[in-house]
Formats: sequence, structure tokens, C-alpha cells
Amino acid sequence: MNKTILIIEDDLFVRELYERILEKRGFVVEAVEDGIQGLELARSKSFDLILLDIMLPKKNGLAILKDLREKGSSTERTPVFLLTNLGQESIVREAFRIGADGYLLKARFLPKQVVEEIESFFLDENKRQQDRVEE
Amino acid sequence: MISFNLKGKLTTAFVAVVLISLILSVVSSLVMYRIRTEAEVSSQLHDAQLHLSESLMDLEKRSFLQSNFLRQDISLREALQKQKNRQDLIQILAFLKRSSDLDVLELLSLDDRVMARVDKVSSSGQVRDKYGSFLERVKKGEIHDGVFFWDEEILIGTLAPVRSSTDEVVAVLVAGYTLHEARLTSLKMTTFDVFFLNETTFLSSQDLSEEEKRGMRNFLKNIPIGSRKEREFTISGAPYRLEPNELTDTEGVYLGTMITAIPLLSAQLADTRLRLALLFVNVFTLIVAYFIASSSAHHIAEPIVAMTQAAKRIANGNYQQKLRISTGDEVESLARSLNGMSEKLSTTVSDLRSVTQQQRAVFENIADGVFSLNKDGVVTVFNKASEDMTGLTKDKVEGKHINNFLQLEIKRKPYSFDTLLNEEAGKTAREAAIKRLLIEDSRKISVVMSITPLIQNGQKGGYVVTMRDVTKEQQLEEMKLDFVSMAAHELRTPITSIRGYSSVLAEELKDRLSPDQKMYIDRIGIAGDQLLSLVENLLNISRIELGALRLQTQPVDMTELAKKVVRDHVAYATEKRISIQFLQPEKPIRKVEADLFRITETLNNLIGNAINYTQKGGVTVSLEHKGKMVVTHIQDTGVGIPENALPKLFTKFFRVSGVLEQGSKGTGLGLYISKAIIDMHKGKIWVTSKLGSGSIFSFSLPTAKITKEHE
Repeated sequence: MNKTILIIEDDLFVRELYERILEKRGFVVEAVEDGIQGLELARSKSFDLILLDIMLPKKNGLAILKDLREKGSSTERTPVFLLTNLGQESIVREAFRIGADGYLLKARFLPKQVVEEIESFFLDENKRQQDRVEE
Repeated sequence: MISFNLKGKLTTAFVAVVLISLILSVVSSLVMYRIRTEAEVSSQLHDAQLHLSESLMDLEKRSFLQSNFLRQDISLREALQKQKNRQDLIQILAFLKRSSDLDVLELLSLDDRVMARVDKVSSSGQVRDKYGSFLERVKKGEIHDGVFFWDEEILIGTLAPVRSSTDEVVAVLVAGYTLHEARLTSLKMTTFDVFFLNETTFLSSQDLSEEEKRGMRNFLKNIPIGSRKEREFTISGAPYRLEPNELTDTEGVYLGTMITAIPLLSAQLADTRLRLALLFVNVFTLIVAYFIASSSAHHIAEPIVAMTQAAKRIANGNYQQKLRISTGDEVESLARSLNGMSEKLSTTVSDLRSVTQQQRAVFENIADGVFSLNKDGVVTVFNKASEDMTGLTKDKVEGKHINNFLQLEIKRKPYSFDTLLNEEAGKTAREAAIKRLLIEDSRKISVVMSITPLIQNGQKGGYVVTMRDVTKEQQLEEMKLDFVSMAAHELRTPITSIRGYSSVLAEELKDRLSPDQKMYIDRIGIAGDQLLSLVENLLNISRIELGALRLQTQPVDMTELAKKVVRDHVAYATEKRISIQFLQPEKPIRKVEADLFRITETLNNLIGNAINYTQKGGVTVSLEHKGKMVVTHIQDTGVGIPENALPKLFTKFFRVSGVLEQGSKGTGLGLYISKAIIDMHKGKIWVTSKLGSGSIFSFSLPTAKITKEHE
């Protein structure tokens, strides 16, 4: 079964760039442009991965991440990659503290590299799951 | 020169009025005195009549005795014939006086001298004045009885001629009784006459003609005894009022009638004249007073009216008032002051206007939103910045309650403006917390507000609210972002698209593109990369220079790191058709104490540079120990660096000029940043190079302290 990915990104060009390239790689992709919509969608459906921007209208990415990681919520364990152009270390650290699974700088990573990161993440995840099963 | 002329004028007017009043009062009092005198006279007259009646009671009897006696007095005649001296004459008169009980005996010569005199009182005055025309008649031989007014007394007596033996009149003897009462003198003040008459006698104070005497007797006859009827009577052509007064002795026996004759004309005339004079003076005074008053009013009031009008015009804002008043007094000086005042006022007002305009301009151009509220929270003033900040217009909000337009949130909870006003008034701006304003339920802005009570004339008249829009800052604050990070973020977003789409395009079209087309797309990608590295470098520099760059060191395995970075650059090197390799060290390299992120950046930078400046050959990365340091070498076979450029190599924006066409794509910031990072690690960075034979960039990092944790 194909992996489902939610993209929360306000910039139309960037959003569609990832949307298209990930769809071409066979992922099922949904994309929204603001934090509130993203949070609602993430809660109403189950995704295998959420790509989350930080500078978002209405609600910023860190706040969304906090909400997603709320104890007992359906999204508590959903993997989240922050896909952002904010490279400030304090923010990167804060993101991992809250519970981010990856932090990609959009400008630095070419789409191809982003896809590679995602695919290798899923590969690793599969391995971990298999390990867990074997145990 | 302005003198005290107004004072003079007023004084003159006052004095004039007082003088006129004085004249009036003097005249009035004179008239009153005159009238009073008349009244007094009539009362005195009455008294005199009473007195006369008393005196005359026995006088009547004796008078005639005496006159008879005188006529027969031989001794006197003899004495005169013998021409006795004055002393002898006085002795004779004294003898006569004693024997006759007379009051006065006077012997007069024909030339009106007093030859001798015996009298109870001294008498002065001219003989002629005393006896008048009677004397002449007596000199001719008549005997005359009469009432005579002397200075201080009335004499009722007889004037008789003293004849010589030849029957010639040689002297006149006056014999009579005086009425002694001094108050009778007051009778002299008036011009009335007194007559006494009975059947046999007619005594008169004035020389009456026989006809007049008859008339007076007739008048008396016609009056019944006891009645006091008055009558008008003409004496010597002048009208008199006769007032009869019957005189009786103690036993009530009628003696005669005393008639007082009061001149009518003088009294009446005087009365009428006085009234007229009084009227005239009154009218005159009135007229003069009117003219003085109206002239004073004109001179004093006219300019004052003009000034009043000028003052009114000034009050209405017309400050250009020029009064032309030249009365030469205080009024003129007042007018000048008024002119001066209006001039000053005019400049002051225009100064004030310009100050007000200036202040208004300052107020309107303050970058912070400033508005004022009255005590009830109604907006009174709303400046331009407030308008810009809230999107509301001054016309819309002024005069209305602030709640109509702005709702307040503090810590995301609604908050009442009124409560805030009470709480915040007096806090300084620094204390004031950030508030969120909801503008008409649509837009939200974050502001720092300071509220100060508006004190006007010592009274609290509302509030002045200053607000600064901190929405942007607030958002950044919430993100814990600084401006540089923010700017970098904004720049990276389009770079993401440029790099992303160009790479996708190149990927998707790679089999259908001509070599030229492929090159074009690659160049877009490369330009994107350069732009990105420029942004990154600028961000780093600003952090370095702000001292905001903080190292997060940890033990780092340089072997692993170098391998990874080399691997990342294989694609680029291959593209440039040069080789890149990592020289595996012979013995294991100790970990270094370093910030992984920053060292990665530095390696990226140095290796990137090496590839950039190398056209053929390759780049080799190697590691070695040097004391307590681990040294990393990046060696290329590129163009090399001219010797003179070496000292400036690690400075900001320095680039080696004149190098290859593709070599000029660096920003000139990479080495500067790398040096800063290595310096912060307490390491060293250096270069050895020869133009044309490549360069070796090297940096050293301290080895990590070996702990169990790190093993």
C-alpha cells in the first residue's frame, strides 16, 4: 500500500513542487496552505508522514507540532518532518525537543534529496518495524 | 505729552456743578433769609406794637402836659436870651427833665447843632437824620409832635420852637420819651412807618400832608372799634398797607390807635423778583449743568465707546484695531495702550497659531499612534499614526466611545478598556504590557500601549494613549526569531523554488534537451546555489558580527565527517570533470571538540572553493595529528593564489581577481566565515599556495577530552 503524506506549506510554488515530485514517486499526497487546515486534516485522517512548514499563516509549525504531539491524540506518533527555510539552531533544537522526526532546509535540499530523505526514512522505519516484529 | 487732563476735566465739571449748587444754595438761603426776616419783622412789629401800647399809656397824658409846659418855659427862654453857656443850658435841661420826668431833652440850634442835651442814653447820628423835615417846620414856629426813629430807640416826643423876647425862633427844644427796648432796632431794618392817633393827637414817623392825615383819620373812623381790618393806603404816592392797633390803658380806656404802614410795593416786588431770580438761577444751573454734562459725556464717553467697540472687535478675533483718539488725556493713553495691546495680541495670536500648527504637525507626524480619551472614554484626538495603525479615520472615531471601534485582548482574553484606563494610567511605557487590539472585530494588531492621565489646569481630564504597533515584532517574538533569520527565511523561499524547479526540469527533460538547453537549466540551478550560499553566508556573518553565533561543541569524528562532505561533493566534481578523494589516514584520528554543524559548513565551504578554483586534476582531503590538534588539509590542483593576495585571503569580501571565468562565483565571504568559526574553536586556519600549482587550505581543531561517554 502506498504511503500517505500530508504537506502543510503556504508557498504555492514550494507546495506544488513537493506535491508533484512525491506523487511521481508513488506517494499519496495531500497539501494544505495554513496551519489550522493542516491540523484539522491531520486529525481527521491518518498519514504516514507529515511535512510541516514553520512560518505558516494562522498557526505556526511549532505550535502545530505541539498540538500533534498532544498526549493521547491520534497524531501523537505520526512522523513529522519539518520542511522549512528557518535554519536558526534554537528553532531546530526546539523542533526536535517537541518531537520532530526530521528537519529539512528547503532551500538547501533539492527536491530529489528531499525524496531521498523521505524514502530512506520509510526504509529505516520498515526495518525498525521488522526488528520489532522479530523481537 | 499726556497730562492728567481727564482728571482736570472731571475736576472742572465737578467744581462747576458744585459752584452752581453753591450759588443756588446761597441764593436760596438769601431768599429764605429774606422770607424769614419778613416773618421775623412781622412778629417784631407785633411786639413793638404791644410795647408801644404799654409805653404810650401814660405817655399820652404827659406828652401834652410837657408840650404845654415847654411852650411856657420861661427859664429856658431867658437862658437862651442871656446866651448862657452850654453847661448852664444843660443844667436847665436837667432841671426840666427832673421836673417833667422826661427821658430826653435836647436843645438844637437853628443850624442843627445840638446845643445841649440830657438823655438817659447816649445818642449819635445827625440831627437832620433824626428829625428830618419836622425840624424846618418847627424853626418856622410850629410845634410838632411825632415818633422818631433813632439808632437804637424810638422817641415819642415834641419839637417846639424856643422864641426870643422878640418872638423870634432861636432854638428848637426836643422833649420826649424813649422806648428803650433794644429789639426795636430791628424795626429799622424795614421801611415801615408808625402813626399814633386819637381824637386830639396825630403822631407820625413820616411827614404826612394834611390830606393824608385826614385820609388816615377817615380810615380809622370807618373801622369799628375792636376790629382789626386792614386797608391799603397811599402815602406820598406809594401804596402802604395800614394795620390799625387799638391801644388801651390798664383800665381798658381807649387811648388811641397805632397804625403801622407797611410799604406794599417793596415787599411784593421783592417777593416776585426773588421767585423769578430763583427760577432763573434754577433754569440757568440746569442748562449749564446740562452742557457741562453733555460736553463731558462727549469728551469722555465718545472715545470710551469707540474703545469699547474696538475691544469687542478684538474679542471677535479682529486684532488689527487702530484707534485714533487724541483727547490728550488718559483716554488717549488708554487708546494707545489698546492699540499696543491689539498689536501685541495680533502677533501673540499669530505666534500661538504657528506654535499650535507646529505642535499639530508634530502630533500628526509622531510615528507612534497617539490618541486621547476623555474621562468617559470618548475619543477626543486621533493622530495620523493611529489612523494608519488601525485603518480607522479620525472623522469616524472622534467624539465616539473607544469601545465602538477597538476591542482589547490581553493574553488572548477580552479586556475592558475602562478597567485598563484605571489600571494603566500612570504606568510608564516600559511597564505597559503588550496588548492585542481587535479593530472592529476584523483585524488584530499587537500594540504596546502606555496610558497617561491627561492633566489640564491641574484637573484630570481624561487620558493620553500612546501605542506602538508591535504585531511583526510580536510574531517574531513568538517564533523567537531575529530579523536576520527572518530575512534569510524570506530569501530562501524563492530560492527553494528556483533550485527545486530547475533541478526537476533538468531531471525530467534530461533525455530531450540539447546540450545548450541542458546548460541553461544547469546555470539556473548553479545561480540558485550561489544565491543560497550568499544568503547563508550573509546570515552567518551577521551572526558572527553580532556575536550571536554560539558553538554547540561535541566530540566529532573528523574522519566520518570528511568522508561525508567529500561524498556530497562528488556530483559537483564529476560535473566539472575533476577528481575528489579522501585520503584514509594510516592510524585512527582522535575525535575533535567541535560544533558539528559549523565544521560541516566550513568543510563544505573549503571543499566547494577547491572544486570551484580547479579546472583539471582534483581535490584531496586528508587528516593528521599535530600535537593536541587534528589538522585537516584540503589540497587542490587549481590556479593557486598570488603571494600578495595571501594576507588578505581571510578578510571579508576578498576575492582573488583575474582568475577563471567560473572562479568568480564565490561571494568572498566563505573564508572569512570559516576563519571566524575555526577561531571560535580555538583552532587555526592557513593556506599554502603557489600561483599555477594549486593551494592547500588547512585548519586545526583541538582534540576532544576522552571520556567514557564519548568512547
